[in-house]
Amino acid sequence: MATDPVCGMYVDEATAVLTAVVRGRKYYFCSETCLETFTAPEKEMRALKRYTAFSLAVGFPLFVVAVGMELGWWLVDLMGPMNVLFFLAETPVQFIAGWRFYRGTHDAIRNRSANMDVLIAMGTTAAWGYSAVVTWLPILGVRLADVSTYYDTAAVIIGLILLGKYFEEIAKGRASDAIRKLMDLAPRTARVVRDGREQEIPVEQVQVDDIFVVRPGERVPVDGAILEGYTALDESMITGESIPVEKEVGDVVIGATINKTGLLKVKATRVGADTMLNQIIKLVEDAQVARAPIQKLADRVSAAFVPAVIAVAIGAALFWYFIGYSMFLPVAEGYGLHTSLTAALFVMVAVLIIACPCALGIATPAAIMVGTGKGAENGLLIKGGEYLEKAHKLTTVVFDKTGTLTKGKPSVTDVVHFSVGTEADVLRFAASAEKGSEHPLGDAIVRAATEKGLALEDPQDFEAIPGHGIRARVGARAVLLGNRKLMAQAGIPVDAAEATLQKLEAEGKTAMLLALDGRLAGVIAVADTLKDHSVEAVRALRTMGVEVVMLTGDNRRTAEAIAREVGVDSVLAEVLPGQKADKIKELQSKGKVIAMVGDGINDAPALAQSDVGIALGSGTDVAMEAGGIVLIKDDLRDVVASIQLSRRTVRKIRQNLFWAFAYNTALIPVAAGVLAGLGILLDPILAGAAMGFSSVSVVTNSMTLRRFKPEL
Amino acid sequence: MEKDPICGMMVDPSRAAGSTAYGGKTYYFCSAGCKSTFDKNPAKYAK
Repeated sequence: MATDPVCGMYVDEATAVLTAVVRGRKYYFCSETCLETFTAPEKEMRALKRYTAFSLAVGFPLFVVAVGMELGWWLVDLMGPMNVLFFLAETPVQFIAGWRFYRGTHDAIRNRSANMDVLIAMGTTAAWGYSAVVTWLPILGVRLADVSTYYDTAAVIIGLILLGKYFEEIAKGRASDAIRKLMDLAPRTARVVRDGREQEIPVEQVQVDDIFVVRPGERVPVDGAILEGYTALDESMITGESIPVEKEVGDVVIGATINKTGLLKVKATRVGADTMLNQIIKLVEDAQVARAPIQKLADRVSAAFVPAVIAVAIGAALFWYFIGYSMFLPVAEGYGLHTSLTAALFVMVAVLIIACPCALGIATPAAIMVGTGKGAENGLLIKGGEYLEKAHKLTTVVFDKTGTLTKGKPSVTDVVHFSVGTEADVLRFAASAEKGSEHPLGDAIVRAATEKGLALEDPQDFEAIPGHGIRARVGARAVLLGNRKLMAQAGIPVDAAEATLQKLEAEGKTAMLLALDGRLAGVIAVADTLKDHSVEAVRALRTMGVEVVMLTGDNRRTAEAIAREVGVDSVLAEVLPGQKADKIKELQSKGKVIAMVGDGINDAPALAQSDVGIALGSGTDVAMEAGGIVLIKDDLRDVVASIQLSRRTVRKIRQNLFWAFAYNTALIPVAAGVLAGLGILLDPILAGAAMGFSSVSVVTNSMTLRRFKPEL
Repeated sequence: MEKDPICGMMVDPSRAAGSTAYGGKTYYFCSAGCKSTFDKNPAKYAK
């Protein structure tokens, strides 16, 4: 069963005749209107605008003239001829502007289900049809007691409902703005180097492994790896990160980002649909078409609703025809209804129109479209409405430790010095010895020294001794950096450092001894450290009332030390890599709704098991990442932001459903005449206005989501 | 947390750059470099 991407109706692919291929994907439609809406949004909107204006331009004057006549102000004796004039004016509105409702009714019958067009077509046709009969019968010589007509009602209702539809189209246009804005980011051409020459070619022709050049100020055409040059890149359009990112040889650059300062030579790694930009576009597109569970519920309610409404309308009409009119004569007269037939008609049309849940079709999609679009702007990719709803119900967030809460690579945590020199000396010699090392430990030490502004020398006679450490000559000094075995081999006593070593090792750190010229100089400890914003993010989540759990393979003692530092509620320690998904299941069996935050590729099973898997910045392969939410940036604050955005969007959806459904359903009894005892009936024109208003209010309410800003 | 037998660094098994099974035990490595050093002569470094 396929879903019509416009109105959400289920369409059987086997029997579907209305299909279209847009941007490479095949879509199925329930009606011509939906097909055309999807394939030609702008054309549709312009036509809609014309029809709306036409209907209201005819309807309102008709309304004014008719009211005047009813109140006896003018033209009272000319009812007959005026009716013909009204007929001529309104019939085009009914069948040209109102054609879509007839087409929709026809398609509903074909699909053997009910939709809103049926209600509107029935209501307005009843008004028009009755009025036509009343217009033409006297001309054919039949005498009628009451020649009031309701052409104005039909025209104004059509106009107001079209106005609502126009607003819905604006909403859809603006919401898919997010996708269109993303698509506009893609450059059209690339400067590739072929046969030793630079050529400018269409970006579609760039192939993997092509070498291309990006000058300062230009946009990167496709994803690639830097071969030559270094620069700062503005990646805000993809990641939402406003600060330019510095990159150099070997680093990955993303297509559609802007190269700011340096000339780059890049080898293409991903082109076409595989680029990160296109993966994001596809993700957002899929998210906007996906039916959220609450929308499916609304669709089912709607399908059952329409036949019920028709039944109520006919029932009310019959009641008023046979009993109600005479029972409430003064009330009816007050509304200009002079016969039981016109009273029945009035009530029937009012019920049909007020009950029409016109905005229901857009209540959920409008909010989801704006919400997911807003998320994409900020590097939060939400894959569909169902994840929004689950995020709304979250009780617990589980963070994987290594690489999620922590940076995933070692940094220097402690520098201790003995007898010789100062801490700075210890760091300086160790870093100089490790200069140019590609090993994570060496890299950590060099980074620490560079950050402290220490001047490093190149090492001489460098030797790496596996299982022991390294040996080198720095300036005039002999340097040894490694473990106890290395020192023992060189005959250097390390008793002075033993207590320090044991303390650091108990903390789960990697501790290295440094010896200079045969004497123990210091100890350097290295460990994985928390990311910059981990503490902040955990705190924000707990403030939101969400329980935070840390999941790790560390031993209990090390795990609890980090847990205290980052501020989580509880720790699941000593979890083997294959056990992560089971741990999530255990928590879920306790009734918790879990979001797991982890690596989108390595933690895929656990992310899939959780209610909402949040994949944290694994690189440019967003399509491959498991989980309902993919965060492009490697910033834990985005976890908080994505949960807040999801909750805000779900609130919007519920508000929209209320505006689309609740208040007009509440008015059905009034339209049927329940308050006639109090002298109140519902004028069908007011019903039409209420319906137009519900579309407008749903759309404008959804638009306010664009103001979302994360609160941390 | 496991210790890389070549450089002594503490490594999270679920994030290890590489691993090798030898003599009924799995060894985890901090980087490709350490793994290849081990693999060239496992008997020397295995514990």
